[in-house]
Amino acid sequence: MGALFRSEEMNLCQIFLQSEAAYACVSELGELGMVQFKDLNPDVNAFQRKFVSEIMRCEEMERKLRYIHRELKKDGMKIPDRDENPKAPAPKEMIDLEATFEKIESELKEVNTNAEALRRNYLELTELKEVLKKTQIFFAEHGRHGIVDDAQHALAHDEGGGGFVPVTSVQLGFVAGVIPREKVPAFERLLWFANRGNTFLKHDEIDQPLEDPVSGDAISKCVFLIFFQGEQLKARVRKICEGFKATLYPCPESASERVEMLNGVSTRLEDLNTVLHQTEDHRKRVLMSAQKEIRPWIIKVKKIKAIYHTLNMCNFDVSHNSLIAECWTPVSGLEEIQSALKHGTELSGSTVPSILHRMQTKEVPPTYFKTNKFTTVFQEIIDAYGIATYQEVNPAPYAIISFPFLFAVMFGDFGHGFIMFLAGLWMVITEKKLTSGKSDNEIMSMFVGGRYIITMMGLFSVYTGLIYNDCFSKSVNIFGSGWHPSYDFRTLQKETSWTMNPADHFDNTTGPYPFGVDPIWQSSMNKITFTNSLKMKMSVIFGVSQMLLGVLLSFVNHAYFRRPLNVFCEFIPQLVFLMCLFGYLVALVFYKWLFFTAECPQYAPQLLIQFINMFLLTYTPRVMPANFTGDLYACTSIEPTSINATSQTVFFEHQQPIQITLVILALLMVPTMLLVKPFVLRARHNARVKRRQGLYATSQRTLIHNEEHPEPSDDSKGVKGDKPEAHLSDIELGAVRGKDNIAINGEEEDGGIVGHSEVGISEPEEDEEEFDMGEVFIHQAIHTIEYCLGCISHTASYLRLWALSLAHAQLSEVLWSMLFRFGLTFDMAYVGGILLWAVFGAFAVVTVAVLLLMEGLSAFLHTLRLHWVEFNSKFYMGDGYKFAPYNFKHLLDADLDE
Amino acid sequence: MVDRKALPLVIMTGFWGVVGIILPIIVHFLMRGSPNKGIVQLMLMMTAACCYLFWLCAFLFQLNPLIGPQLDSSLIAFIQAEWENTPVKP
Repeated sequence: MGALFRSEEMNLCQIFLQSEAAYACVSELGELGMVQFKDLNPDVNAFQRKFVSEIMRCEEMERKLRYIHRELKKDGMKIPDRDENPKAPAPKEMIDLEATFEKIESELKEVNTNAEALRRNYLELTELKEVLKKTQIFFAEHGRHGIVDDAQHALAHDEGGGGFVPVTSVQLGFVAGVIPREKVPAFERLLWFANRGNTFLKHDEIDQPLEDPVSGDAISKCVFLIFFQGEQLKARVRKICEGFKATLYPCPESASERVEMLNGVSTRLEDLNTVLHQTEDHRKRVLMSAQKEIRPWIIKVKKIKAIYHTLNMCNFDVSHNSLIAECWTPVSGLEEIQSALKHGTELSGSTVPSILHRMQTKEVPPTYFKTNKFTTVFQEIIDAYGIATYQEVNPAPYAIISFPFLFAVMFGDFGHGFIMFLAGLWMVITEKKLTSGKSDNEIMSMFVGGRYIITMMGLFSVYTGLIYNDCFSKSVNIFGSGWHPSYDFRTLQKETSWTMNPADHFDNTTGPYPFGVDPIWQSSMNKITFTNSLKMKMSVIFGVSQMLLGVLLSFVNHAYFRRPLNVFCEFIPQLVFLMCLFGYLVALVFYKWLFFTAECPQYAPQLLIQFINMFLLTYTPRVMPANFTGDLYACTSIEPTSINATSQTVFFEHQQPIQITLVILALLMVPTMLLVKPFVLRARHNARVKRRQGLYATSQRTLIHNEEHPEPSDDSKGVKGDKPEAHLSDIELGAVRGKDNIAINGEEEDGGIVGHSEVGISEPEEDEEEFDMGEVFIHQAIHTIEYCLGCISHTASYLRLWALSLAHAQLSEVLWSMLFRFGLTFDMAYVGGILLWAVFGAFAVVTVAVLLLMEGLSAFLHTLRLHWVEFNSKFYMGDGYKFAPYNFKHLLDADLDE
Repeated sequence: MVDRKALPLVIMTGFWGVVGIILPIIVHFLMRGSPNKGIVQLMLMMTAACCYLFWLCAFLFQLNPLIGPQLDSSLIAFIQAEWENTPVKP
């Protein structure tokens, strides 16, 4: 069979690597991506492993790279995304890389600190310049004496006295400084309160915002001048300024000194500006040189780290100076792995080749499926339910068709299906572009990941839409309807609606509509009654088919794992149960469709009642009247009461015996499933115990002792029918012990509960305790009940195929009649056209949003449930673990933040 | 012999029979070395089985209808006038 039917055969390999070649070989294996290394040192602390120092160095390198990355991001420089895949460098080159990173990091740090200092300087000078400018303006506006007068006046205000106060020239001191704008009101208030109004504050805003040296934010500041008298106030003012983190600047008193200072500051500012620009240029240059190389560096460092992590998992063999690694590999990939190992050995220049050695093991290998881009999405859907057990039948290849098909049964609209198909097709055609870039939009990436399944779902929906004859809730009449009304005009005028009689109006010679549902039903009022019957029966037919497929697949599993007990105790009863009850129901459906026409509508059988009566074992037979020739059970225009025929009577010959047989057969299968297997397992276990006891008879005396006492005390399970000869013959089993072991292995897979995988020379008491009859029984009972009740409930569950397709059809019809038809019936000459355009826009939006997206998601979910629960529970165990190969591919997206 | 009723049955059975039985055999020879051969064959067979069964259900269901459509009288008049409506011979 092909790749996807069963998981790949895996084997456990041991690789012997020379110490020099180990690094290169692991690197080659990582590029290949086909081995899964086992951790041979699981209980060793991460800090006690062999290569911990190298990993620390890698972490240090990563830290430096992260720093560089952050600096690049700060400057808004993007990392170019070239599709390159650099190989992990040799250990000697690691030192070079470390040196390079160290150099770049120290340069960047230096540049940054310098730039910060320069900017701080720049800020101070700018503030000083502003202070000087503003004070110039203050003094210039009012004249020096003027502002001093204001100040004096304000300060001398307390000293009472109205009128003209003699101007005593008080020696006023002032400080000038800069404070952030938000703090000015509080500053003013505090100054007033603290100094009891003896200081005078004048402040003005700086127009352009200044750049904070550390964070780079823009802060608006104000220049202030505080006038005060005396030393005490001066001290207090200074303290308050310190508290508010206002920077004070020395401002000379005389105007000429101020002008001089201003010029000096301006020149210094210009110089500083040039230096600052040069520093920034230097930083940019450093960053640009790093920008080109940073992506390959990140990948290289990640690969080195991964290699050392893997090497840590290996065993170090001191005597041969080699590393021993254990890994799971697919059997089909062994050649490639050998060549990768050879390549690695060559690269490292070592003369001793690495050896790959296959081991036998009893551990369960991981499950590995070789998928291509088309089958990946289907495999993922199945894996989400549970990873397949090693080498069991994989439901994925069947899901490739059954999933889109069941979706289409629920979605069933030609127009919507076509739109979905086009959307999927577009994604498939542009898939290179859509999958290559890393998209942040998770929803979009989910859609792109499922592009093949969307295309298939759309395609099948087109087909089912054609069969349901539903295209945006309208039907198409390609072949001519099978219904021909023939009412004359006067009859038509009597009633508003007429129900056509199939005997009179259905053309039996030309037959039904050849492809799908007849278009006349779309415009009829009892359309739903008609389609309900069709869709419900179709759902049951498909449900029983899929469950049958599931049961048959369980047979494939039993055959592959050589479990004949399961075939007879589980598969055959399950099959008989399913087919006797539900297979018979499907057969009845087809029988009714074929053999009951409009000539006998009164006694066409009602299948649901008939099915219930089958279980209740109640039958109402037909009565054969006197002088009756012909077939009692044919569908002819016979008066029904004469033969006592209703829809609930027997409707084919020998129906009663056949149905009773089927019911009894099905019911007999239940105890078969329940009881046979536990007893068989118990008998086998007892036989095994008996044999093993015979093996431990080391001396003749023990044998004789056993012969004389036929029931030894340590056999608590009570082996029945213990004959003395059995013990003697057990001695011969020394030669056949091997076969015994194999048989035990085979049986253990049958039982699934008995024993563990190590079957060696173990104490008999241990094995006896492991076969717990109660547990086996309970397990089997659960399995039986689950299957039998499941058959019934799952068959009913498949009716969701009907329910969702009905919902979709109704939604579609409502949308048409409530929205679009409104636009079409609008009776205005030219405006109607524009209105129709707007109505179509709304129609299209609601179609896509509700009918495509919402209904599509809903149908997808229900199809998923049908596959996971109704299909998989028939045969799938799903308790494997996934093959996670050591692969460098996922390291290629250079993302350090993992 | 072959009345119009049986014609769709023959055509559809033939079509899906080709898709489900003949094509996989052809694929068996065309794709002999490919690892995807089994998948393609399975897909063809399952598509044919599902689609044929679906069409067959719809066809057989309408073969012998037990109820007829209930139509608006004006619609019946319209159908009688516009559609090719040869009356059914009783």
